[in-house]
Amino acid sequence: MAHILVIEDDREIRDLIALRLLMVGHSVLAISDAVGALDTVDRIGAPDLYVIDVGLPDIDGFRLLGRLREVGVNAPTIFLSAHAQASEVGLGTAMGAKYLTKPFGSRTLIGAIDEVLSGRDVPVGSAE
Amino acid sequence: MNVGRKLRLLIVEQQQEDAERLVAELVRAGFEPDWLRVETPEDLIQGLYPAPNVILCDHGTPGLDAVEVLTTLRRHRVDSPLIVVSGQLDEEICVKTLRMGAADYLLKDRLARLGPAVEHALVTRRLEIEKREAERKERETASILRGLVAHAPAALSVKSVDGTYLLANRQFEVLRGVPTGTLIGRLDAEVFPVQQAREMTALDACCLRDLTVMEREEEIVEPSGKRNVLCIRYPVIDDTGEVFGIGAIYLDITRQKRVEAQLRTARAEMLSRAEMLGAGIEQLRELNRLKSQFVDAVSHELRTPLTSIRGYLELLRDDDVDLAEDLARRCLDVIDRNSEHLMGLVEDLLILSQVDSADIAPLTRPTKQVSIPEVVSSAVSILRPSVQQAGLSLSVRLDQVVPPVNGDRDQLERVVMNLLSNAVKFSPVDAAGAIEVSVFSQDDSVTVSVSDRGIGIGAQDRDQLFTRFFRSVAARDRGIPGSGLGLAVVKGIVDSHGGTISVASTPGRGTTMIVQLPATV
Repeated sequence: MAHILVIEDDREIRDLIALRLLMVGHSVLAISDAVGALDTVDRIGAPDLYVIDVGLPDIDGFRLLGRLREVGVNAPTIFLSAHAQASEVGLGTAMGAKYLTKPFGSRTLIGAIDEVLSGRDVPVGSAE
Repeated sequence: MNVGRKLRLLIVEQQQEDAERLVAELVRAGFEPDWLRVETPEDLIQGLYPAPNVILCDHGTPGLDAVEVLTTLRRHRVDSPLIVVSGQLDEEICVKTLRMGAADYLLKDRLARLGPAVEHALVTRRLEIEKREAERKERETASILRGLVAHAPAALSVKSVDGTYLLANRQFEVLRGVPTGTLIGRLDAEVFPVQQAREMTALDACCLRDLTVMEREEEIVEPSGKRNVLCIRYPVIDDTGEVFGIGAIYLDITRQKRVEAQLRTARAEMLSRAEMLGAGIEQLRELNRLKSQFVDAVSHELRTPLTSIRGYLELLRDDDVDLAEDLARRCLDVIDRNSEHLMGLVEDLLILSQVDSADIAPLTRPTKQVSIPEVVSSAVSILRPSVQQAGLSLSVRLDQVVPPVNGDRDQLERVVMNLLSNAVKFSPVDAAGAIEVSVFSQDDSVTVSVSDRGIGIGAQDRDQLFTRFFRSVAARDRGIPGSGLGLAVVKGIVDSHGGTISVASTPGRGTTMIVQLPATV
């Protein structure tokens, strides 16, 4: 299936997402912070999909995606966030990503991943 | 064609031929008479309407002599000129009729004088009418002026060029505080105090010199109080262009001035109120913004543990997943921990809500006398297991005699627990023996201090330490769990108990939190 990079600082949620994605056959790399994520893609290149928590402790998720795009490792992205304000959601979708608000069910997450991977109705954003 | 001057003529005459002779004479003199002859009193009265231009009266008409006719004229208020025509000279009658208003007295045998006499009578008559009209007009003007002077809502005066009062109305006397009728014919210097009189004379001189209308506001101090007046001074000039006096019009503007001052004050007051309202609105906006921020933060804090609870519950209930027993137990642990966390969060929020409303309505909860050593012992016994689990040790020092504190026991216990659990959370495992709790009394207060040898608090975090949902960078970096409400709750409770909280900390060396509460007397 797909190579997915999960960046989420909450260990329990990170483990849960990784488990769920593994169960449906994806290969998963789960990382707890933005710097680690940048390191990882620097070593192994872009995955098929990013799942990024917006509220990361070091660099927020939006900036992280910006950096990833800058260094040319773009991939379809799903943002996860405990913030449900329209401004945040808008920022996420403006970047061409899907935005999931916590708490979400595993089916919602997996559905979103399938949707993004099949390229349906989510434009894969380019910076320019 | 020779057209004579038209003349309505009434002739009192018994003889038709005599009347015709008179008419003929007038025609000869250039008149065109439209004439009527009467010889009875009744006809005379009829002949007076409309009033003739001239009446010629034969004195000898029986029952209707000149005296009789003149009397009738007077009675009917007819002032047409009457010329007496008599057959013979009767000096007594002549004088009498002239005195009664006859215009002339002629003898029938000297009728050549008739034309000029009528001419003269008409001219005299016209002049008389004009003079009377002029006098009437003058009287009218005088009454108009008198009325104006008497009733104008202004104090008026006119002085001659040498300063003698020619006119002063009652309003002027009242304004200047002088008795009625004492001004006319006198000078300012004879009536007013030296300084005042001098000032008025100087202003009058100014007006006379420049020959302009002067307008200025003055203050007049009278025994009845101070008045503000607007004074208009003007030179009085007669119809030959000669200046014969100075007029002055004083308008009392005391009330107007007072209202103006009041308006100014009211306006200033209104502006300052509007400003205050503006500030109030700004404050409300800020509060509203803070409230929204707070709700956002609360929602954020609730969402994270809910995500775990929901996700792991799903995992447990998923029929497609067959979890090993230890994995299932781990799921339950996660759910349990997050539920605990949510509970704590809700409790913190409730306490914050309580202390917030206590700001508005203090003492909404009943307070009791609380023993702080007891509260500390209780909190320590609850947390001791987690202290030990963290590999830390804890020493407690309680003063023997500590006065009680007025307040809410559960809340005060919460204060100690939050401080203690922070001390545990922020101490590295190798800082064994580090946590110290002590209680002592000093003057009128009870002090609780909690010290650790943990990571300490950086200077950049001090200001925000008690802000709701604030989490230090160190806490986030090290993944130390927490909602950012613990110290906000502590501060809220301590404040609502009238106490203070202070922090001493060195990064890398440790932190001491000191709470001081007022003791009951």
